[in-house]
Amino acid sequence: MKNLPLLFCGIFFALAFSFTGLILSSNLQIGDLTPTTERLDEDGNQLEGETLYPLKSPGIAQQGKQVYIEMGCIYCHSQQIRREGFGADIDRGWGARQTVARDYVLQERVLLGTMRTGPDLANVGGRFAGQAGRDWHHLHLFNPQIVSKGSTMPPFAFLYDTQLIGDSPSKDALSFPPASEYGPEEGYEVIPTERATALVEYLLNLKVDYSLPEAIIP
Amino acid sequence: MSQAPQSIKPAETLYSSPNEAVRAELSAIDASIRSAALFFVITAISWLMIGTVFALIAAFKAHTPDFLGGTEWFTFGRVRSIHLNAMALGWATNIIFAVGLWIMARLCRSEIQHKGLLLIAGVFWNIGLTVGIFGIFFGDITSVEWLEIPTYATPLLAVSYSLIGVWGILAFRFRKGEHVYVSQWYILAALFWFPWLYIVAQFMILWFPVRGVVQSVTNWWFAHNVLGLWFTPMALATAYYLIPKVLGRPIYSYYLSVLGFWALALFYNWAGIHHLIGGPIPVWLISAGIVASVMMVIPVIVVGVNHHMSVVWMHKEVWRSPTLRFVVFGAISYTLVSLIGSAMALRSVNEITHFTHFTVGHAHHGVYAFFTMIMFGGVYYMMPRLLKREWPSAGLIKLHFWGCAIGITIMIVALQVGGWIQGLEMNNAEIPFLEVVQNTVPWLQARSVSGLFLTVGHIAFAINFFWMLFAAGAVRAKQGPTLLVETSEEGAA
Amino acid sequence: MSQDEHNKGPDPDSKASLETAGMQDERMQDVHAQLMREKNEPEEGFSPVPIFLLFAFAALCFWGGVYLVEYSGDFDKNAFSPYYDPGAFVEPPPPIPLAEVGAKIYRNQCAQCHQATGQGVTGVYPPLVASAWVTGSEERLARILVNGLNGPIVVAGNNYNGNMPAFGPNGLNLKPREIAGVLSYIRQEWGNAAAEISEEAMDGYMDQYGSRSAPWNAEELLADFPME
Repeated sequence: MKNLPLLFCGIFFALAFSFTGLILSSNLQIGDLTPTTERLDEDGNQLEGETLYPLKSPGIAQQGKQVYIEMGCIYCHSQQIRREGFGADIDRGWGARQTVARDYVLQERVLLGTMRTGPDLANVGGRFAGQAGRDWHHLHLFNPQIVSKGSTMPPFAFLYDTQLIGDSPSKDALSFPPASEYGPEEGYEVIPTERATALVEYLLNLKVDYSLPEAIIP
Repeated sequence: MSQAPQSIKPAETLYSSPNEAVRAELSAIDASIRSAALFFVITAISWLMIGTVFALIAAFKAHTPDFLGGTEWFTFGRVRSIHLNAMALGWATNIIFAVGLWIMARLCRSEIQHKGLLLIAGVFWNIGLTVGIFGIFFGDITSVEWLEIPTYATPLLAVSYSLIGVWGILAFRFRKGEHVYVSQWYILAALFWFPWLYIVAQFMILWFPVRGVVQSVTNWWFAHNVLGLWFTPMALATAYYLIPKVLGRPIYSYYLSVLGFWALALFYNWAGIHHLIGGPIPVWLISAGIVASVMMVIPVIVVGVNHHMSVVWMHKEVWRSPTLRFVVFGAISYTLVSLIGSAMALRSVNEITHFTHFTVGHAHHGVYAFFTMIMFGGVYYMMPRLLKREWPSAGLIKLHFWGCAIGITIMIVALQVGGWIQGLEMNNAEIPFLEVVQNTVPWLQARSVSGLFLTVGHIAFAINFFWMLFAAGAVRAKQGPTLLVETSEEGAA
Repeated sequence: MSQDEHNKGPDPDSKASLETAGMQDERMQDVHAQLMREKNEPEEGFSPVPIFLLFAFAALCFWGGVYLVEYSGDFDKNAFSPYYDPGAFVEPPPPIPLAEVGAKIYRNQCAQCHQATGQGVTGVYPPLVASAWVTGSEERLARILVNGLNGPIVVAGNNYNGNMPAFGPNGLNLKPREIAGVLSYIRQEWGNAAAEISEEAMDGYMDQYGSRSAPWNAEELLADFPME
């Protein structure tokens, strides 16, 4: 094979084939998906007046996503639920249904992940909610050993400030187990920084608790 | 088979035989590429050492999370990403620039022109990478796998790369001689494919992000093709050059070479979707990726047969020559890692291995046991020809080989056995997740041990290299090359 | 390579020749020896492709084709399972026994705080083992699950002061069957020996308390249902 133009053509078309077949065609097929109602009517149109899913996330959750990105959480945590019967994702309660393409259309950076050193987080907001959820996440992020002894997740204490307790304890202060080896010294309290607060809001907002026409919760 | 040194002829009759003429031409080509190749080898080895340090840190953190756990700069996600990029763009790409371009120059029988341009591009490549690595360290990591380098550094990388790539393509365009050898196809193809992959990925994921999971499809088309269309062709080109060169025997079959090349070109770039099996993308994409991954068995077997039949009955030579020990280790690993990879793409296997340490073991099997070992072989062959000296210490070469061979074997076994168990347990919802994690710890500790072996090998390599580079007087081109087994006959270099 | 190519050699004006001229004799001999020692540039042999390999590859291509046809979901953008079949009638799965439902929910939703052993975390999450809150009044326990619990509470002689999320319609939205299951589970696990809570009873509690949005506190609960 010594003819440069011919060789070059072959090399070009080899990559052009997958570029078209995978990248361009998937962009055509699913690159313009938008949120839709949980069910469609008989003609395949969205139902009037019904909520469109997935939901937009609030600003603070988006700031929290930036913290998630900066900390490289994706390298241990995935955000995708496999279908029933393929792996134990649904059995483990990581979600009620498989995640599909439309679940990610509002995400500016999609963080599917490919490692599960830690559990999947696609629906972590469905497992930890409200103030109880916030409390758990803050203790867990400060030092995972507090609520998950033996975990290999690293501590993120640098996302928290340790400060002298003023006239009264801050309402945001983390409440440690009594005499915990991870707690602050006598007279000190640990409060989350803005980044920790935002990160926890992001985690509370990760939910796949709605159906889609192509993925109905059984 | 060398004889006693021939006496140097007077200048009027330059060459006493066609053999001498060819060798003189090769020597001229080597001299013309020397400064560029040396630059790239030095930067490659430097990044290898940096990447090794961060690998050790990441490995220890995985089972001892408090290790360096106090600052966000050393948090696991960033440390691991620095390791990956230092190795992929630092070690691997620089060594490709060194060895791959040297082989291309030799085979094209063209002395390189505009060497200054090549060096400048190389300097900018390494500056861009350094800026990018610091960017990751300080938190500008993108969290896009294999594209962690922040966007303020990537244009510099794209431009430097393109310059270097253009140089390689021009060398091919102005080649001498009728025949085009298989290594030249692979190098030419890789030089063309990589910028296309990189620029598309940068645009569609980071600069003008496409919507939703199309980012993921693009991401894994890109990332897998860094392995399949950049590292693999360059390593195969190197093996295809060195095996027949050192043994003095032709490659078994031209037809197998052609079949292997085009099958790789056709199938490999569709396989990347296997990173998303079970994921939130339409199933046809996934099935296409699976089929392509399994079809890769064809070029892999073909290359395996070609290499094996070229080496058969010459095991003693392989064992004696540092170059061939590393290259053949790599070539065998290629067959093994690819067959395992094809198996991993099957849904029933993937159900267990996906998301586990098995995949990490597989990745290192490919990038280290295959690609890196072959490139080590390339360095061992190339350096004496560039510096006109021999390697100072056979002992250090042996330490290098054994450190790496033992290290990578422990790593692959530990991660894949541990990862398989992890996968099985993860698929059993009755086992608490925390227990699954704790069961991986002994395997991760074994991985850290393997890292120590690899580090010893790399240090031996670096010492030998810099000794050869700087102590010019101490090491001369002796009567024979630095071989790993004492023997009375002269022979392979 | 043709014969005449061999004799062309390098350009006489190139640096290499000048370099050679400048070297010491002995060194030149060494370098020359090293150079001459090198074997020829690689060439390809022309052994044919083994026939059986070609058959094997053809078979692989056939497999690939069949696989693609079978598992591509008709290239439909809504097909996310390789067994995609929009027209098929799917048998509803058989009902899972209440005890199993309970164990599963506990593992997935409760264990991260109350731990798989039911021991809780000292000072943070109360234990469920040997706890009168768990084995005592059915309704008091159901209230906690449906609406959540805030504030200080004494369990097995120890103080806790935390937040328990709501699992009813105003919270994590578990179904009555699921709450009945998990409550029955914790009442009969780890040595606890209390009666299970039926789905019908849980339906009733859901109707009663489902619309309440505020969590309970220990005082309120003990006022209505004093400790046994």
